[in-house]
Amino acid sequence: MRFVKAHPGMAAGLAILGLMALMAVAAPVFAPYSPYAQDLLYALEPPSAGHPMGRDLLGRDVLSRVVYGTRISFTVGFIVIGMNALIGVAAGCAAGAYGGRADFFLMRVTEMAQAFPGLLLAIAIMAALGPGFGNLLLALCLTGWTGFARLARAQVLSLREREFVAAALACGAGKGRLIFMHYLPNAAAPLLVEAAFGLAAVIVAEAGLSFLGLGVQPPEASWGAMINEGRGFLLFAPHLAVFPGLCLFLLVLAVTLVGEELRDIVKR
Amino acid sequence: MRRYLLKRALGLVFPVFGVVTLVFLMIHLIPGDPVETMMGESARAADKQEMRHALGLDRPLPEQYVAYIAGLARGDMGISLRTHEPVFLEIVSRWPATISLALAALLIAAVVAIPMGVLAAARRGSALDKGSLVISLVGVAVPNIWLGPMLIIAFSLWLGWFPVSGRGEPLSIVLPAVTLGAGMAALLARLTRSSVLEAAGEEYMKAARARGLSERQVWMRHALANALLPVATVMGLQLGALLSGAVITETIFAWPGVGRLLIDAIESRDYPLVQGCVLNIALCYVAVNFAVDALYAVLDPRIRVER
Repeated sequence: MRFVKAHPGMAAGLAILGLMALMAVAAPVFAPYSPYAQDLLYALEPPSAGHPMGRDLLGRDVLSRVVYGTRISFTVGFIVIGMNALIGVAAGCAAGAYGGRADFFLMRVTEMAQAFPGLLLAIAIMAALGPGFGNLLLALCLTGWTGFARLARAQVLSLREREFVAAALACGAGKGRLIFMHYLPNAAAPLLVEAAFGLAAVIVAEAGLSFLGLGVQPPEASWGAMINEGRGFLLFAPHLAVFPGLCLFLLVLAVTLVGEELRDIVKR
Repeated sequence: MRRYLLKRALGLVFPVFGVVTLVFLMIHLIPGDPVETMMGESARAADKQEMRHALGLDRPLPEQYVAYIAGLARGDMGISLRTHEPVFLEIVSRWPATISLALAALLIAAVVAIPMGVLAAARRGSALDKGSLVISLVGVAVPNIWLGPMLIIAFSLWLGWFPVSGRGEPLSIVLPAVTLGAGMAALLARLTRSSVLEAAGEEYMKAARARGLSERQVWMRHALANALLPVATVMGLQLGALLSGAVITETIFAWPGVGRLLIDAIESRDYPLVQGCVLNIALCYVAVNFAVDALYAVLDPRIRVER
């Protein structure tokens, strides 16, 4: 209770995240029907007691598809943010620790990747490779690492001047040891904050690409694709777009709340 | 000043080189035969060969690259496979729609966010401050792909105030601009609040009060004037980001801009047009960021000295 009082935002965010993670892991338990089971006789049926979020164009249960959609968002979100952190932190630490040509080269590559705004590079990669889950992961992994690289480099450059690093160097520590034993543990907190905000951005990017028809393909249930399917029926069946979007909003809100509290804690 | 701008301009070389090279390589990333992907498996071999020749894909890669760069220097981005029009002209005809949408989003964000941020800072800790924090949190978290359809349901289908889609009457820009600008408004409101609070604690505020200025003059002439410089910079930088965000908003509202053109080109596998759109948006983003950076250096001499 003390934690909830001290960090209400993070507590609310973690509660929503925990519930959604449970839904993702135990989707068959939470989903009342198969997300693929069609019944065309009941297509576009509004929400009812048997189908609390209604049915889609093919008569599939929207609640079941929303529950399974959680899996896509979590899977893509955590795999991509993990890979982004790995690539970015490795590049940033190497640039900061080795300096010279390595720094020049890695930072120029980072600048090139940052020259593309937001989703554009991912859209370009998906346009070339074609839609699909694997290509979606690849496109998002290749685009979101630059923030980690810049942050990790800045952290290493600032830590390099500290006395404990000078002491480690005097004891004969090499670059690798400095990175793993000194730089990374001390840079972990701001990198964790970056990861929290990055996770929200990845979840939105996945939904955006699936919305544009470039991400997860039917019949798989992705919230972005479901909102897109519902776009044509906003007047007669608004539930098709409302519920998947609401879940997406809640998930992004939860991750943002956790990220903001983490940032405040790190600042203190 | 010139030296600073020259240094920043030289810094653009790598990003621009990266953008041009990646866009050139896009067509070579297509799995299998790109010509078959564009024309379909059933196309005649002679037609495929003609297309391969027209696109220059039958030449060695370095030669293709040089020809691509030379073409760009002449403003030649190829011919659209769908309309048989020059890609450059197709894109140029769509820019006014995208720019007007981005500027409208920027205007809406500024008009809503700056007064909200200033009021929240002036009444720190009040219900108004807490309310603005909640609103900005929601604004940051709400995805465009959901906000757009929800605005259509509420304001077009139920209330009938605005058109559902397209770019016809003047009111048709309101919902797309709100959708595109919502996230930015949230960001700006928070930034304005924190900048004003920071400025309010500065020594010059005490000095202004000591000189006998009224509280209104102290806030308007000193706190706001200093606090709004970083806000203006972020607005400029966000303008570049709005151009890419416009891809989704333009798709939701069938807004005939470059973003919508890009998605149409992807759907019809018109790769020269896809390349042209990606290149245009990315170069515009780089140019806007450079212009904002330069303008910031002009407005605040400390930037030139620090960097």
